[in-house]
Amino acid sequence: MSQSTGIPYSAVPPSPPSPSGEAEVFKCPNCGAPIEVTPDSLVVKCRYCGYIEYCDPGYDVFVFPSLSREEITRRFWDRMRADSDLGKYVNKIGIDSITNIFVPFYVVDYDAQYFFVGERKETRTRTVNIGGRVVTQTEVRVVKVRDSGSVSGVDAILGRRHIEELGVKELSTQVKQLDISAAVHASKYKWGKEVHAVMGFDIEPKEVNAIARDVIAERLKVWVKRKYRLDRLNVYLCRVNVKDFKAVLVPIYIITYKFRNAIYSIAFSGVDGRQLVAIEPVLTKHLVMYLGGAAATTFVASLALPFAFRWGHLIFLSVALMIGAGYLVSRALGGVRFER
Amino acid sequence: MSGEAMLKCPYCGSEFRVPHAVSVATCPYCGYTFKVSTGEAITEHYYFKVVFSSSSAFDRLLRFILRNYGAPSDFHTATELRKALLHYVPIHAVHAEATGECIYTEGVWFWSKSYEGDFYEVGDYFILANREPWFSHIVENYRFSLRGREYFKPKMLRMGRYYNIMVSKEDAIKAASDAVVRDLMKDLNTGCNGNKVVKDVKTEYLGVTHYPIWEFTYRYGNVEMKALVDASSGRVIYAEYPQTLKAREEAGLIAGALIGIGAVGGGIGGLVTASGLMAAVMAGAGAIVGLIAALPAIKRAFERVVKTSERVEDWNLLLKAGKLLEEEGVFSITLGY
Repeated sequence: MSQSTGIPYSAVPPSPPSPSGEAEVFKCPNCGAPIEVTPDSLVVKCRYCGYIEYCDPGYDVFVFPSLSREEITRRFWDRMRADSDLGKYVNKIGIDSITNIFVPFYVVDYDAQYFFVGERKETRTRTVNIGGRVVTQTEVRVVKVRDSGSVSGVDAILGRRHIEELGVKELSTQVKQLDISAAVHASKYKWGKEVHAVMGFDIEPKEVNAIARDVIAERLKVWVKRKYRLDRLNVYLCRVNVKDFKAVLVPIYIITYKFRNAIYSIAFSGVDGRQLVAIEPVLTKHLVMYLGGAAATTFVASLALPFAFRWGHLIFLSVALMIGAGYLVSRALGGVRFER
Repeated sequence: MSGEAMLKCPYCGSEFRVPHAVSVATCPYCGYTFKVSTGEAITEHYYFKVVFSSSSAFDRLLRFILRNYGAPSDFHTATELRKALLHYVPIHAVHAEATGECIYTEGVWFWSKSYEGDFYEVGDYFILANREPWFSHIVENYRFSLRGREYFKPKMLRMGRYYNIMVSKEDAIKAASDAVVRDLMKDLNTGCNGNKVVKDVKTEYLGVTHYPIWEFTYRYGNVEMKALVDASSGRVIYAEYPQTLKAREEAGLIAGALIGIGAVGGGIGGLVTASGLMAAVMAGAGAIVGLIAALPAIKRAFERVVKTSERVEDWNLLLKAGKLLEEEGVFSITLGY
């Protein structure tokens, strides 16, 4: 990662608080009014004259341009009108708040080599005739599997510790697919009027290698197990090489809306206005779907039970359907549903 | 006062009382935060700002509850707020890294072959620095909002109930170190069937943060309930609400219908595969299948007060809340969000 080319901020980086515990207060380069810099400040705005200052963190940060609040509001209403459930109640919906946050991510370009020795259980069923009686025999054998390979790709690592926010998980999936050339250096980015402050990274670039090594090796392990249908890994070796990484800020909008006095939320990507995740009320259509589905699966689960005496495997189907029915009942009584 | 000690602030000289167990104290007069044993300043001391005032957080809570199944439709107008208390809960943050090795040998004697490889675990561990609040179980692994921290200010000592740091920095580092080794071993157990060795553990203390949480006590009808709301993001961490009789009856009906459907399905299957007696047995077995599928509805039918939390990503909060309820042994958790 290269060193920053950003404009040095006249009063950064923020130093630890003075012995009295008070944060240091800096002066606005434009009007001289006090500006409070926090440990997470990347962009601060003067409350008096609106001057926006970029606090150079000492490394390059790129920003994906954000759609305007008006554009996101328009997409929200378009989405609501097109919704098969809520579309009928658009006149009963009101926007409660719109929050625009720039989420810090590290986009990591990597390649990795893996090797493993694992075991897979293979089941073979055959029908044999014993003394005129047809019997189904099941044979389980353990097969040793070993392979090696290399993969390369792009991953996104959140630049902040221990956070949870609506849509951020979904946004990280989108970040991997974004074209980095569309991002602008943070020092040259034209921050919108509505921006009050932008948070920086509390995970530093020096930590990225270690985090990427852990996260990517773990993801590959899951992938290997699934790809080779392994029941056990005897040994799994993985070497992750981080080729390059970039610190990026990706905009997200969270719209909270009121419907029948209750609140619900939708997260939109600020890059292209795509819906990331929506928390919606469970209305008639979905209620019928959930309860109808629960009734149907319960019926099939219980119907399959007597047949399980003849075909033993059906007991697993019955149990799976029973659990599925319980899940659908809990969705119906959940009050809200998540839509991605 | 028993159980308390008198301390003198090394910065301003003011004297104040703190509980004996406190390892880090904050002077209520000047805000200087220091180690009780040495007087050394704690500079990595942050807090999250209160973004949601008492009234806006309570309004959000009521509107959140309204979206839950079975909440009374007049809940937001008929609920009376009895008490609002802001808690500032201290949380230590420690970054920890661990390296382990897997040595796996296959074959015997001359035909054996060994494989060796390193495993890495990296994580940030957030350890509650005071377990005094009744809700410490719920917020134990609570994830922060995407709002920024600020440097600690003395004024926040007067903003709500400020909890002292009872767990020392050293104990927090030790807890993080143990946690990273546990996580590394989990990793090794799923990727290594040979010898597993922990080679190295590194930790870095990131600081202590006071996080603001609103505790609300409110009454609807004759029922008094409690809720916790994140004062930084407005997210409902934990809430209780009364379930209407109509909703409980509906849940009971759903449960009854599923048990009936299960019995019919089992009965038909029994008739197709065996005799009439077997069909009756299978109808009973089918009813049990229906009963198990209907468990969430049965639970709802018997719940007078439902406990819930706002989910934005996973089930962490709900599980935490569930643990607390198990300990209380009173109610079960709703499957809502």
